[in-house]
Amino acid sequence: MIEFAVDVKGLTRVFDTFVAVDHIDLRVATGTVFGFLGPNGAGKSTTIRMLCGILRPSGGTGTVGGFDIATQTEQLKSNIGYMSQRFSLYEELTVEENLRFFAGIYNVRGAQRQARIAWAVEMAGLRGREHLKTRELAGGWRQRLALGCAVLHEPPILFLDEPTSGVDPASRRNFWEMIGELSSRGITVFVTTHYMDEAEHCDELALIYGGRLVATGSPATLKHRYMSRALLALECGDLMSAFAALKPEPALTGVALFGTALHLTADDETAARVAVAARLQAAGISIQRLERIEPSLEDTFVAIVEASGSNGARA
Amino acid sequence: MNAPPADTARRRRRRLSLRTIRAIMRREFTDVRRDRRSLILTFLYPICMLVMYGYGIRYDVDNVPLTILDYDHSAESRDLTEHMLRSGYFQLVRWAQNERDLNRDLTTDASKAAVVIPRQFAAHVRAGEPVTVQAIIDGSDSNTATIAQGYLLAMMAGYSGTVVARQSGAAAAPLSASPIELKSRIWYNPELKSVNFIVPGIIAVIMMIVGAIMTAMSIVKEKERGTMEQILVSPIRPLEMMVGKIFPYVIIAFIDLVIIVCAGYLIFHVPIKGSLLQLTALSLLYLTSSLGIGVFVSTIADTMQSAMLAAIFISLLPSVLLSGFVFPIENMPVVIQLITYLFPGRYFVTAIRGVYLKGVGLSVLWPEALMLLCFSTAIVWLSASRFQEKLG
Repeated sequence: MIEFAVDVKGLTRVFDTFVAVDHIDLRVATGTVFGFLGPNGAGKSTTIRMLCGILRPSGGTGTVGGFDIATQTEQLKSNIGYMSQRFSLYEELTVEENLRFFAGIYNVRGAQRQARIAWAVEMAGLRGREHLKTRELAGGWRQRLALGCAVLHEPPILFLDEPTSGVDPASRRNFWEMIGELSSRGITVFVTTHYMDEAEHCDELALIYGGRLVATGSPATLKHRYMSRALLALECGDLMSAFAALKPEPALTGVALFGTALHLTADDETAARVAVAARLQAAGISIQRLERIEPSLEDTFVAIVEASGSNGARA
Repeated sequence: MNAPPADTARRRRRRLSLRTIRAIMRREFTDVRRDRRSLILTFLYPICMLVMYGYGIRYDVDNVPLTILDYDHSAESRDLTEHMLRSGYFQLVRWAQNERDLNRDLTTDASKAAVVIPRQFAAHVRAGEPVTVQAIIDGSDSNTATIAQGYLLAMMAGYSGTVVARQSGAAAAPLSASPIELKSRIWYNPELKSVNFIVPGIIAVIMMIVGAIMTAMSIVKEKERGTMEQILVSPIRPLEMMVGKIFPYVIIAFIDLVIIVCAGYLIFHVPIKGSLLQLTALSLLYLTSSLGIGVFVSTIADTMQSAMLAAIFISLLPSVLLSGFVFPIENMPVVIQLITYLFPGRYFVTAIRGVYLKGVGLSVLWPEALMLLCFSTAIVWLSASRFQEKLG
């Protein structure tokens, strides 16, 4: 068994003059669930497409499943499963026909084919719906069928590109249970998402921003490393005015809007509390709640992105 | 296909997988079967076209509506008009009383042609002097106009002949009247039935629709839906994908060929004079070129809409307009004639008409067959290498 399912160095992709992925180094230990996070347009899909052997890198080298991403794409492709946010199934085919089709192109045959198709139907909860047209399935079922098709040939590595976008929360939870199940069988899962709650399910995370890798580590490590400062949650009357009033405060290292509250970061919690109280009083805003909280991954990423500053921020 | 890029050399080690190709093919067939639009396009359309063009396009003209304005009202003028009407090529709309009547008939489309016989017509004829009869022809439908003009000229010439003959004495007449007589016989299509000409042309059009348009659409549809990407991440080879996608359309095109040939024979009694085998071989060669065009279009278009437009522009229009199917190539301006050499339609229509109507074979049609072969090879090579590049 190879140690790293994904091992790439200096991975780069340039479209004309736009650098979509800029010298990325990635190592994904075999058997882990690896979360690849970043805002839209940060280079997630471009990276995943290069790792799957369907987009040629402009630079960099590496292996996926032990196969070279530039020269051994065919063996590489036999060893991976891929599912994108579009759940690319044939809508006019039935559930079973879709599974048979993917069995065909992945050369899954004989008794194994029957067994795998039965397994996928079971896993996707589609027993009794084998003869429904895929078009007639609801989003969550289509997503699970797409996953079933992607792992029909029992790939050791599974790439999921925003697999839960556009799916209801219950199906999302269900889907992550399936990912956990696959992972427990030793499959390496490489998943991109921009849902931070999903990132908590991952063993390892990497954050890409503006084509560059800005942070890597387990969720706990990241929170600890990047959030050594105090994090305060502020609830008050007029959030936007409070935001404007606190932004210039030197005692605060960061001010960010989080739903119905402001999240403030500071090196010195006591000094920050005093300064906030003074500024809001001057602005005529009453404080409803101001307390220290545990940082979430979202806070962590806001901090990381702010720290990486303008060099990562590109249009 | 012929010359894979160097970096695919490694991949060539694996043989093509029939199982993979079969999976692609089976899905393609299911797709066509379940999609009512493509079913109609595939099987109903050829028959519709055959019936539409078979009954609709007619180059043969008979019963041209004719208005006659006879100022002379003499025995001779009646003789002339009867001569014309008896021929069966014209149908009398009415005897006009004046020029206004005649104008009205032509402007309201009541008649397509008019003949004006001048006063003193009989007097001139009897005196053996030349006399001018005016013919007015509606030129808005140039094809009918040309043919009507031809008929009128022939009528006049015939009538003049009889008059001269009658005057120079009955016995010796016919020889001296027209010392050289043209007797034309029409070969290959003796009844001059347009449909005989059109059935082979329809084969050219349908092959393009199935080969180029349907193939391009089916590939681009997968790009648009994202299923192409899903297939690309599988270890499938571009050639397997291409063969699997194309083969169903070869079969469909072949069924269409049979439908057109049979329907042409059963409905319009268009016989095949030449060899059925050569007809099939030429059609397959032409089909290869249209499949090549289809794959080529799929490599340049990203949406079904643009694929449709590009395919119509590159394949369908030339096969209708520049092949000689509807408009004779000889009548085109020289520049357009030169352009027709760039499209396979011209070679195919010439060749298949030869096989169909003249019963000639490759011994005569080899230049067309050779050109088709060159074109097919070139376009298949171009599209296959582009396809491979896109997928590789």
